[in-house]
Amino acid sequence: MPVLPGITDNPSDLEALVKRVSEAGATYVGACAVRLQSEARKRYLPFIEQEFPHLAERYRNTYGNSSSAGQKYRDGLARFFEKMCAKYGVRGWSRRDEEGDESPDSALVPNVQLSFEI
Amino acid sequence: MIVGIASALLIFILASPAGAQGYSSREPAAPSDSYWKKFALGAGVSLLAHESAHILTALALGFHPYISFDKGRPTVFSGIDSQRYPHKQFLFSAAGLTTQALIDEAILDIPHARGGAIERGILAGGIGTTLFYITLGRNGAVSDIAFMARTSSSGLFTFLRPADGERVGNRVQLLILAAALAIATEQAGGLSGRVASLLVHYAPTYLRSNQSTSNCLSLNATEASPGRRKLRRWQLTYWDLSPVQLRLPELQYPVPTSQEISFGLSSVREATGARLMEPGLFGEAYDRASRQLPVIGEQKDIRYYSSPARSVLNGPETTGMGFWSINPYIGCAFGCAYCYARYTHRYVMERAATDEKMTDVLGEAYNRLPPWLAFERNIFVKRNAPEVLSRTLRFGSDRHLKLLDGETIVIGTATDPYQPAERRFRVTRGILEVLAEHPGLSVVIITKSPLITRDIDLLSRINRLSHLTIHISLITLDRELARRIEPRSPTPESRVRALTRLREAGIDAKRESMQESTACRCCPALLTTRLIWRRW
Repeated sequence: MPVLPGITDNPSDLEALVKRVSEAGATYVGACAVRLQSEARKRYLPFIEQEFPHLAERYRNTYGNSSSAGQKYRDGLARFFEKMCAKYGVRGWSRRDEEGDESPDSALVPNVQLSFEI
Repeated sequence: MIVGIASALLIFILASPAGAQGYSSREPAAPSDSYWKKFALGAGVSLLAHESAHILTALALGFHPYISFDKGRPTVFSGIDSQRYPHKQFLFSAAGLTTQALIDEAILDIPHARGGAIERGILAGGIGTTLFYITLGRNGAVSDIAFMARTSSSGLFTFLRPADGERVGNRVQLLILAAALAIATEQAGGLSGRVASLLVHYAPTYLRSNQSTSNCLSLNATEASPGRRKLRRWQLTYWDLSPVQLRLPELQYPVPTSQEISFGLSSVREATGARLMEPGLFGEAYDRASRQLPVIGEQKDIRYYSSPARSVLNGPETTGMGFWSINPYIGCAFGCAYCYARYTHRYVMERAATDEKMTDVLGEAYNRLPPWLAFERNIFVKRNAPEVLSRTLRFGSDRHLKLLDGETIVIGTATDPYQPAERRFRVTRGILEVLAEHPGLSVVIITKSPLITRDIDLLSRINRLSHLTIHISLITLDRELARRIEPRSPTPESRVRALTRLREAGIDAKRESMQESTACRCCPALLTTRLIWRRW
C-alpha cells in the first residue's frame, strides 16, 4: 500500500491496519511511501493543495524534484513496518524475505527492497 | 446471463436462391411455380426443425425457452443461465445445426427413390444455415456458433470464433479443415459415420464446456516431468483435435472494426482473403468510421469504449520487472489521487487522436476533460482479451512457453481489474477462465474491489492448478479519509471482508496445494513506478 506522508502514516492507524488485515487472514503486508512519477504528480500535488493545504509545502519540498520520499522517512517506515508485521505474525516486505522466498512474486521483492534501500 | 440463439431467417434470403440455382441447372425443364413453392417449403421445414430442436432441447433440459428479438432479429432464447450451466447451453446451441445435419444426412444416405423439390429445399435449408453460421451469422451478439466456438475445445470450431474475438483461421486452414471433415465423413460411411464424427468433435467440447477436469487431468500427468513442457503444449493441441494448427506460424490478423462486426464482413473477408467492401465504396467516411472506438456503455458520468486488443500480455521486457502483465481495461473509475497509471490512458487517447480513431463523443471528452479526469471517465474495454489470451497461451511464440513454466503474470498493473466496468463486461472473469485451463502458471491479481469474490469459483480452481496470489490494496481503515483520497473506490471495510472471504475460500485449496492464496500486499505503485523508471 502506498503510505501517504502526513495523511495515512499515523503509527497507531498503521498498526490498526496491519492488525485488522492480519486478523482478516492476510499473509503478506507490504507498504512503502508513495512514489510519484511525473504523471501522477500532476494530479496528486494539486489534489494536496486543495484537500490538505497544510501539507502542500511539505509535499512540494519532498516531491517537487523527486519521485520518492526522503531516505530517512523511508527507512523509518520500513523499520516500523517490520516491527508491526513481526508483532502480528504476517510476512512483510523486508530483507529477511529475500532468501528462500519461493513465492511467485519473489521476483518483485528485490525491486521493492530497492525502494527501501536506495 | 442468458445466451440466446439467433434464428437463421436471413439465410433464407441469402442462401436459398444460390442453392436453388444449383439445383435448377440440373433440371432439364424450367421449373414450375409449384416446384419453387415446394422448394421453399422444404427449406422452411429445415429451419423449423432447427428452431424446434433448440426449443425441445431447452425444454428437455428443464428450462423455459422463449422467443424474443435480439437487435431486431427474431431469436430463440434458451432460458439457461450459461454461466452456471455452460454444458447445457452448449447442448442447446448445438441442437439446431446438429438436427439439420442429421436430417440432411438421412436424406442423402438412406436409399430411396429420387428426391423431389421439398427434399432439395430441406437440403438447401441445411446447407444455407450452416453457411450462414460460418459467415454472417457468426457475428451476431447471440449466436449458436459464437457460443459453441467460445466453449469449444475442438479445433473444428476454432475457426468459427466470433469475429470480435481473436483471429484464428485463414483460407488454407479453412480448406484443410473442410476437406478433412468431408473425407472423414465419407470414409466413416453414411449416417452412422456422421453420427460418430459428430460425437468425436462434440464430446471434448461438451466436457470442456462443463468445465470438467478431464483436460486438467491429462495435463497434470505430463506436468510431473518438468522437462516436458513442450510436450504438454503438443498435448494441449492434440487434445484439442486440431493437428492442422499444430505448427502453423503465428499469424497476424487484422482486428475487425465495429462496422465489420455489425455487417459480418470480417469473417467473409477472412475466409476468402478478399476485402468485400472496399473503403472506397463508401468513401472516407466509412474508412474513418471503421477505425473508431465505439461507445459500448454508459454509467452516470462514465463512458465505456470498445478497444479491441491485438495482444494482452505485456512481456517482461516491456514491463521491465521480470513479470508479464495483463490489463483488461485502460483507465479506472476508482479515482485514487495518487494513481500512477494515468499516463497509460493518455497514450491511448493521443494515439486515438492521431490515428483518427476518435468518435465525436470521445473527441469531445478528449478536448473537455483534463487527462487525469479522462482516465476516470473514459474507460477502454478490451472485450476480446480472453480470446486473444487463449490463443497466445496455446499458439503463441516460444517465449510464451515460459508462461507455462510459471513466469509470473500480474493482472491489474495499470488498471483495477475489478472496477465497476467488470460487473458488466466481465473481461477479467473471461481472462481467469482462460488461465484456469492451464496448470502450472503463476498468477498475481491486484485490486481494491470486493467484486473479486464473485470469481471465487475460478480463483479456487486456479489456486489448485497454479500458484495464485491476490493483492488487496488498502491505504487506510478510515472510511472518510479513504473517500477523500480514493473517492469512488470500495470502502475499506468491504475490502477487508473480501480478504476474509478469499481467505476462507482459499483454505480448502491450501490443504491440497500447500500454497498461499491470499495476501494483503498492496503497493502496485511500487511495481509500476519502477517499470516507468526502467523504461525511461
